Amino acid sequence: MQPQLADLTGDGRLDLYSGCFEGGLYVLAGRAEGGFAAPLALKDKGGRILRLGQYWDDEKSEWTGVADSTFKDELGIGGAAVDWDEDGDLDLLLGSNGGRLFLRRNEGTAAQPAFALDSESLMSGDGPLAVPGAHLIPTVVDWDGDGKFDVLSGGGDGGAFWFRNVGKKGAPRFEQAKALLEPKAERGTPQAPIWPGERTQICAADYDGDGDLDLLIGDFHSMPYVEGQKWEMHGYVWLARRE
Amino acid sequence: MLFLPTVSFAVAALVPQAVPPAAPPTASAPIRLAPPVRLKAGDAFIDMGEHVAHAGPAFLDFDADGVRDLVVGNFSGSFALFRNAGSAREPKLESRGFLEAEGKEVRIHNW
Repeated sequence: MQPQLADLTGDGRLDLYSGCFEGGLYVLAGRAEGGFAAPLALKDKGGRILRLGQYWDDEKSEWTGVADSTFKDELGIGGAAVDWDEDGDLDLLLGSNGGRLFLRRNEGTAAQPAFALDSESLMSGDGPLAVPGAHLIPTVVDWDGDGKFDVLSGGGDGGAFWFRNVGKKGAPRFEQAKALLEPKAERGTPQAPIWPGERTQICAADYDGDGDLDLLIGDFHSMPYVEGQKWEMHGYVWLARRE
Repeated sequence: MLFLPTVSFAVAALVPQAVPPAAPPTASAPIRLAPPVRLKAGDAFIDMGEHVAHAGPAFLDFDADGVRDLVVGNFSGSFALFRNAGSAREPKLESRGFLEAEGKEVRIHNW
């Protein structure tokens, strides 16, 4: 889960939100007095929990596909809010466990969001936008400073990837993922790693106050699973400064 | 585990925006990143291992002191807080427990 901030409730205050591995997107509404309300699943304009395709059905205790989703087999694991079409409200980019990127349009307004009932697959040329190794959790940022938002993501095998926006404002178009940080198979031990591990999650921010964007990289390292023993795993946060 | 119920995000003071500030224009210069280093809080590496790992970081000012802090999601569905007790130039992170909402630790149903 990767927390991000945006006003998704339309009240003018920033909310904290995060995708998760059961397929929903949760919003902690920002409160006037500071802090947040308890998390609630974001809903579409039909009042259903907004999901890309697959989700974990707690009652049935099984994976289920949203009945009328075009992408029933895609499990949404991350979301990022951005005004895709420059119409003044926030739309959603959804990333899937399978590594693809989707758009869920806001058909309402900034003050009264109304998210579409289905998602659109985002393409580059003839192929879908995707990250190597799957596991796409998007974040939006103007990485190259050209005035247009780009999309960054980690990947299932690790690394950090950049979908460069080569379109126009209001009509984004993306190049396929380019590695900002290559995944590496040789990354030391889980206890003393020398390189970020798998299933990376990315945040672009000026970490050291020098005026440019650095990368924060969250990861997953584990020892081989042995039945009957506690599964040792680690999740570190790395900093890659922009030189 | 340290819980500080007084920790509150000063979200009302922030300007609503989804896209963080842009990097300076890079023209045609390639963007180069230094080799990654693991972040620490105090003397210990930040590690979500006890919370089913899968760290998901965000860098934002949760205590409204003018410098950004670190929030890290994990597979257990909680958000670990690391306050920046240093400066914008030289962050020094301190563990501050987990995000609470309405008096309870936030725990998102994460499968």
